[in-house]
Amino acid sequence: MSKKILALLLALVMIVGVFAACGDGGNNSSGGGDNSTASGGDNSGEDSEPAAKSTGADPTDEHYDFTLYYYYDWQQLKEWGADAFSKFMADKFNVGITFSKPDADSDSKLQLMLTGGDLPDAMVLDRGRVLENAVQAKALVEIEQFMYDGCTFEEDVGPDTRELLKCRDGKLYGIPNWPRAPGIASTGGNEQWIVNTKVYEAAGKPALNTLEDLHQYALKAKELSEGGLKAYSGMDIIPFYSTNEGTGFRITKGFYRSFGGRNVAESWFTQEDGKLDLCVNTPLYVEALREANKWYREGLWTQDIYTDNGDQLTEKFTNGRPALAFYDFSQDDTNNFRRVCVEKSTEADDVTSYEVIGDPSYADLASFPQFAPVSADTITYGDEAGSPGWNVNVITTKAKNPQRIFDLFTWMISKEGSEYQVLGGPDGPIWNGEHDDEGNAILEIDYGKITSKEQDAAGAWLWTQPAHADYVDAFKFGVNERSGVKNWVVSIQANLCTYDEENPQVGQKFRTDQLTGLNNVIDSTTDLGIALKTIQDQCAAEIPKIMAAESEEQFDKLVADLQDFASKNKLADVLTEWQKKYDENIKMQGFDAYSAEYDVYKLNK
Amino acid sequence: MTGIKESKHRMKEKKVVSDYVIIISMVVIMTVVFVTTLYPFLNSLAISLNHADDTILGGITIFPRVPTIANYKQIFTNPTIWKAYGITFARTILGAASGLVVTGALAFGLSRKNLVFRKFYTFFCLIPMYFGGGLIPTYFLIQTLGLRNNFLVYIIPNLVNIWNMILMRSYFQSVPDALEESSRIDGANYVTIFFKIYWPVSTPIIATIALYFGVFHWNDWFMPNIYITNQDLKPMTSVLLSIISEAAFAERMAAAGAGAFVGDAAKGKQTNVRSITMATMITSIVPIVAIYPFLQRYFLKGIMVGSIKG
Repeated sequence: MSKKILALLLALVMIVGVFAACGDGGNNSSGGGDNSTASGGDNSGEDSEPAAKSTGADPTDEHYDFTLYYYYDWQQLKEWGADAFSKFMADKFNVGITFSKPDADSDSKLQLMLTGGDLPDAMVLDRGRVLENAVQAKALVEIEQFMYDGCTFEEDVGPDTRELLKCRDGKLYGIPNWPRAPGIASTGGNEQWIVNTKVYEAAGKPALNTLEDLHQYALKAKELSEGGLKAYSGMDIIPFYSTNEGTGFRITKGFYRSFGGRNVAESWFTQEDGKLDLCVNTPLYVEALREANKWYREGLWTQDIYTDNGDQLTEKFTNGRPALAFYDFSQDDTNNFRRVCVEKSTEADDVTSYEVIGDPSYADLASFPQFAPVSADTITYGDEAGSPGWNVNVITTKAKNPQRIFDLFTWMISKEGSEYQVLGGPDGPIWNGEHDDEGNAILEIDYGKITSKEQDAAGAWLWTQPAHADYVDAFKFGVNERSGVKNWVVSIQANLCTYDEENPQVGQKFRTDQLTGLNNVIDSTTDLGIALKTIQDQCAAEIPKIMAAESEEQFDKLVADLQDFASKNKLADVLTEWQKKYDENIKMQGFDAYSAEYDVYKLNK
Repeated sequence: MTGIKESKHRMKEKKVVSDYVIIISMVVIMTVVFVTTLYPFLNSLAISLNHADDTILGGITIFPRVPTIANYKQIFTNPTIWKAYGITFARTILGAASGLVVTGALAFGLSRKNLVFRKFYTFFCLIPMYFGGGLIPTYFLIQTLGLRNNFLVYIIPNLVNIWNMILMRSYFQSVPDALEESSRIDGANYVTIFFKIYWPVSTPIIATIALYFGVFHWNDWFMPNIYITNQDLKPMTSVLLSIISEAAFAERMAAAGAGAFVGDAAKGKQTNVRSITMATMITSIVPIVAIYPFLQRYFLKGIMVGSIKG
C-alpha cells in the first residue's frame, strides 16, 4: 500500500513538474539584475522619449574601468595595456577593460546573461537576430544620444549606414565593426581563382581568359596527374579544389560569377533584374550549377570539398596538390597555405607556389581577367561591400559611463584610430608615431617583414573590433606599397580587388547596401521565419547533391524537387517581405548597383 | 583449496571448440577496440611532439616526423595555462574531497535502518535524478547565492551526487551491523562511527567515488562556461575549448556569413596550429590518465558493490 502511495506521489510530482515547465513563463526574459539607467540618457524601449543629444566627449581625468564581452567563443582575449596600442588607448582615454567570452554555446551564454541581468558594460555581437534579442531584453542603450557636433562618428559612418544599422524599434544601438565609407569604391577582397604554378607550367601556361579556359586547364591537370605528374610532396594532383564548406557555397559562387551572376543574397537567393528569387528558380544559376556538375562528373573535383575541415584543406594546399582553386587567398596570413608550400617545395628543389589569376605582379597571369567569364561579352561582377560591415559593438544598460565607452569605440573607427589599428601603438616595434612630410607614417620595419611577435608587441591588428574597413585598408595598402618587402595578400587586395574609379576593371569590389538587412526582416521565431530556415536548410542539404549528381536526369530531378519544396514552404511570402526591404534599400541609397545608370565598371562611358 | 585447484584443472581440460572460437573472437574484438581507442591518443601525442610547420603538411601517424618539445615549451610559458592548471587541480582535489565527505555522510545516514522517515528522505533524494529545475532557475539560484565568478561555484553545487550516494549507501548497508553496535557500546557517536569505523573499511567505494568526483571535476567545462566570466577562474577544459574554437575561427566566421572579414580580423590572431592544440590536450588529460591505474582495482571492486550478496 505504501509503495502505491509513493508511486502516486511521484506521478503527481512529475505531472506538476511538466505543467510548470510548459507554463507561460518561458518567453518572459525580464532582467533579474541591476538595470540602472545609463548616465548618458534613456534606456531602450519603444515608448521612451529620445534622450537629449550629447554636448561633447566626456573628460578623461578620472580613470574608468569597464567590462567587454565578446559573443564569439573563438575570440582570442588579450590583456589590455600589455601591447603598445592598447597601452596608448588606455593612456589616451584613461580606461581599463576586462574582457570575457563564452567557452562554448554562445547563444545560451548570452541568453543567460540577458535573462539574469548579469550584463557586462559593453558587448560585441552579431547584427540581426542576436542584436535584436539583446534589444528585446532591454539590455542596451541607444547610442545616437552620445553623438555630438563634431563627432567623427557622423563622418565615418554615413547617415544611410546608420539607418541600416537601426533595429526594429527604429533605434541605433551598435557601433559597426568594419563599416564602409560612402561612395562607389570599396577596398580589399578575398575569394579568387588561384593557380598552382608547377601544374600551370607543366600544362604549357595556357590562356585563362574564360571559364572554358579554366575548364580545359583543369582537364589538362587531370591528364598530367594520370600521366604521372605529382606535387612536390609526391602526392597526387587535384584538378580543382575549393574552400571547405559543407554546402559547396564557394563552388557555386565561383561558377555563378563567371556566368555573369550578381552577388547572391543570404547564400541561396539571387537578385537578377532587381528581383529576388530562390537560386534554383533562376535559370542562370542552374546553368552555373550544371557546369559545376559537369566538372564533377569529369572527375575534376570530389566530394572531399564538402567534408574537408580546415586542417585537411591546409594539408592539401601546403602539399601543392590543387592545380586550380577558388579560395580565399587572404587566408595565407593565417594558415600560411602559400608560404609553407613555397618554403617546403623550395627545400625539395621543386618550387611550387599559388598565384591569383589577374594579379598584376605575376607576369604569367596578370593579363587574365580576375573572374573568368563564360564568354567575352559577359560582365562578371566583383564582390559587393555592404556599408554596415560585419558586427557591432554595443553599450549595455549596466555601463556607468557609456559616453566614455562611446568615445573610445568611435575613435577606434576614425581615420586617426585606423592608422594605429594597422601599425600598433607609437611605443611599439613597428612605428615610432612620427610622420614624414607627406603625412605617411615612418615605419621601423618593412611591412612585409613584420613577424607575429612584433605585431603582438605593437598591438597591430589586435584591437580591430571596432575598426573601419576602408580606412584600415587604405592605410594598409599605403604602408605596404612603400615597403621594400611587400605582403603578398595586401598587394593583391590593393592592386587587384580594390575598386579603382580611375581605372575600373570588371570584377572589382564595389559598394552597395541593396542586400543589407535582409536577414533581419523576418523574425526567426514566426511561422514565416521557420519556413525560411527550412528552405535555407534544404538548400544547404540539396545544392551539394545537385552539384554531385551522377547524371543529367538526376540533376534535373533534384533541382525540380528543391523548387517544389521551396514553393510549398512559403517561398513566395518570404520573397515578398524581402523584396520590400530590397526595394527600400535601393530607394534609400539612391541606386541599384547593377543598373546601367550606376555603371560601376564605367562600361557606358 | 586443493579442491578448487582440481576443479580449475578440470575446467581447463574441458574447453571445447566453441570456447576457443569465443576466446579468439573476444581477443580480436578487444584488439580492434584497443587499437581504435589508443591510436587517436598516440596520434595526438605524436602531433604534439612534432614541429608546427611540419604538422600542417599532415601525414603524421604515431611517430613525430620533426620531433620537438617547442609546443610544450610554448604552452608552459603561457601564464594562462598555469592558472588554469591550478584551478583544475584545486577544484579536483577540493571538490572530490568535499563531495566524498558530504555525499558519504548522506549515504551513511540513509543507510541507518533506525533513521526516522528514511524512506521519505530516500524518495526525496531520488526526485532530482529525474527532474532538474532547468538551466535558468539554476542560474538564478547560483546568482542569488553569490557564487557567480566565485571559485566555490565549482564546489558547493557539486557536494552531493545522488548516484554516488546510492552506491555508497549500498556499500555501507553491506557492512556488518555488529561493527556499529560494538562501537556504540564503547560510547561512540555517529560521527565517530562514520569516520573511524565505516570509513576505514570502505576503501573500495571511497576510491571509486573519489575517482567519479575527480573525473567529473577534471573534465567539467559546463559550469565555468555558464557561471564564470573571470578568466583567472577558468579551468583547463575552458582553455582547451578556447584553443580549439580559436583554431576554427575562420570556418566559424565563414559559416556565420562573415567570411569576407576573416582576412583582416584574423591578422591579429596567433593561429593555434594543431600541434599546439594537441599539446594542450595532452597536458590536460595526462594527470587523470596517470592516476587512473592506481585506482583501477578499487574502481572494478566498487562498481560491483552490492551486486553479489553473501
